[in-house]
Amino acid sequence: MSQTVVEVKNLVKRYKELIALDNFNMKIEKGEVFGLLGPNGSGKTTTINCILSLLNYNNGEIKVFGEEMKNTRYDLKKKIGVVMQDVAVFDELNVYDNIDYFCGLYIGDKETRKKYVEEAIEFVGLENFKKFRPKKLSGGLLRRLNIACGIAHKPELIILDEPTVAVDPQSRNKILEGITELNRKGATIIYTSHYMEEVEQICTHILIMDKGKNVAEGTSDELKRSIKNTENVIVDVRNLDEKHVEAMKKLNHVYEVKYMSDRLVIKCAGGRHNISHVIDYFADNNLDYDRIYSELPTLNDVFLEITGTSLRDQEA
Amino acid sequence: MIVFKTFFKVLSRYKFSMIMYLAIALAIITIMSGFNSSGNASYYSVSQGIIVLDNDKSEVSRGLIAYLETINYIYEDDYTEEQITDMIYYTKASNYLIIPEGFGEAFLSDSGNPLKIESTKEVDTRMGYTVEAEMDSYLKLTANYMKGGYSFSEADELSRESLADMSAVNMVSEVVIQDDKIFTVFTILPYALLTLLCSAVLPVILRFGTMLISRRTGISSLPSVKKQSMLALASALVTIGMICVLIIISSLLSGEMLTARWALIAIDVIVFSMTAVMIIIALSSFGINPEAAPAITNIVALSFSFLGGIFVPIEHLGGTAKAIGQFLPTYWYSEAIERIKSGGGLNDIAICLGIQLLFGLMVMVIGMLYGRYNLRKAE
Ligand SMILES: Nc1ncnc2c1ncn2[C@@H]1O[C@H](COP(=O)(O)OP(=O)(O)O)[C@@H](O)[C@H]1O
Ligand SMILES: [Mg+2]
Repeated sequence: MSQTVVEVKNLVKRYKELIALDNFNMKIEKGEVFGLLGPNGSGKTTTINCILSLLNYNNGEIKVFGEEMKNTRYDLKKKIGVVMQDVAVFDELNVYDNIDYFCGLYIGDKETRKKYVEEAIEFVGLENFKKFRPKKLSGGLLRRLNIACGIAHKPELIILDEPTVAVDPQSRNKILEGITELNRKGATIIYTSHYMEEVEQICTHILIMDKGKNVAEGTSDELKRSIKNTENVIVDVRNLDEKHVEAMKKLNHVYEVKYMSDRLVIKCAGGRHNISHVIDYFADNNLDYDRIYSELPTLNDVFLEITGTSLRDQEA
Repeated sequence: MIVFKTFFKVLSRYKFSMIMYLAIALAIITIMSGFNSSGNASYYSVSQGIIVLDNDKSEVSRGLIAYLETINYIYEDDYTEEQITDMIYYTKASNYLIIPEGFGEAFLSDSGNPLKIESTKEVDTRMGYTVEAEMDSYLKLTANYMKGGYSFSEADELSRESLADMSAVNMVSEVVIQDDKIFTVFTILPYALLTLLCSAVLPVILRFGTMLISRRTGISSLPSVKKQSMLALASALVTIGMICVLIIISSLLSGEMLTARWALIAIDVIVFSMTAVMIIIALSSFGINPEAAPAITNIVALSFSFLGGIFVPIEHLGGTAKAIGQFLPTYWYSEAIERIKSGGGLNDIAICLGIQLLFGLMVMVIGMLYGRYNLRKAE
């Protein structure tokens, strides 16, 4: 039987006029890698801070491990590990001492702690940097230190808030692999990000949020199946006449055609041979093109269809 | 425990600045104590303004005033009480002397019980004592000559001659001021303590209090009360350690320890330290970046020390500086030292100690209120 680790019901959080969380609901089961996907400013960090009782909220209910979460529930906090969006470490302490401090907040016993700290260092691959102070670490290594500080005490629930922002690809892969590994060892994970590729890669359950609301959730496949978009045909082509764009809208299964910066995107709902219909059209009209290919919808298309804006647009 | 242990780990990163500021303080003490023993004259030969109200108008009172006028400047107009207060406050005059009616008669009657001249002065100024000393020497000497059979006018002339032979400095140091090293050395101690606290303890507390670290610590299973008490305990221990080191160094430098006045000074030091810790707590509520600690150290330690009369006696400061200085605990610390120097006991310095603590409490409350307000604003 599955066991609910975190339950958020009708959560409302206002910052003065701004409604950051608008009757937000979320339920996380034991053993999941739960992805909280949303553009910047959609309320991911606010949600996490409410769960951790760092913020007071205006309305709603939060349960962790089946019990009401409060600032003074130190027994519940003991089972949670947090990697915050902003790196929180002591500039004055080296890598080892930083992890030792944050682990020490949970683990009193010296011997156990020593073992845990060493394991955490090994886990994030900072063995060669134990005596380095944070200022001497690159962005990626600093993020790894931040993660080590959050997970060293071996928590049952690990919350990571955008742990890969501004991280080089090598560190990013290491981090993502690490999270999967932690989950394999039994930890439940909450992972927030505005990068859909990451969420798609590691999360077993994805919740898409926008403007403080839960707009869709499910597995990656479920989400993609829930929208009408089934295929996107993309053509790199120069100086295409407007009349062709209009004509292609009339092709079977096509419901939207956009032509921007020498790229034609044809959105299709259903149908099996959409790309060949497009190729045929180009051949029939004797048109040249550089490249043509077909893509399955991404989480970005899911987001686009539900909210009318693109995840990527808001990234800029 | 981990908070306590980490406090010292972080503190150890600031050992260089601690050593540096301790060295600076020692250098200042050495320079100042050398300067003081050779440079007294420059303070005391300065002529003072004196406001005189002569209710007696006798030969003796006029003689006394005439003598004082040879060294100082005499104001003898009809001033209002307010004007007098202002003149003394702005150091235009160091003393306000009221010569009572019948003063001359009593002096000449040889009853051995002369009427007292009322002298109002700024308690902390050495100038005030200087004038009193001048007055005292003149009257005693004149009385002695008269006992030897001279008339007042002869005695007056003889006294003036012999007093003119003596330098003002000698007179002063013989009669009132025992400028012992202990006072010079301990006067500078607050500067040392403030720099040490601001450059080492403050940044550590600030580091634990930065938004990121305190939030990250706050979501852990360590109760915040426990964290706060660990921080308080560690800061207290470090401060006590610093006080002990400073008292021992100062005692060794002044060659005096465990005397009655040493004990009084030590009490003053302890009270000042408590105040300084409260100032640090207040500063830490303002969410300042720990990297700003060196700047804060210089601003707080230097301004408090200058305006509080630690480097330069307060009477040498201008009116505005003096006015500001009186609100600072450093001023009341040095005031207590001055009072101990002129023979005051615990009763005499109690008010100075009280004001220091009051200052500390006040800024601490302001800091806490600000911290609360900020917390609410962040919501
Ligand atoms: N302390 C704050 N005061 C006022 N508004 C805030 C505060 N923190 C966040 N917000 C606003 O709340 C919204 C949600 O922010 P946040 O939870 O940080 O989003 P995300 O983590 O998804 O990027 C944003 O519009 C943001 O500007
Ligand atoms: Mg965020």
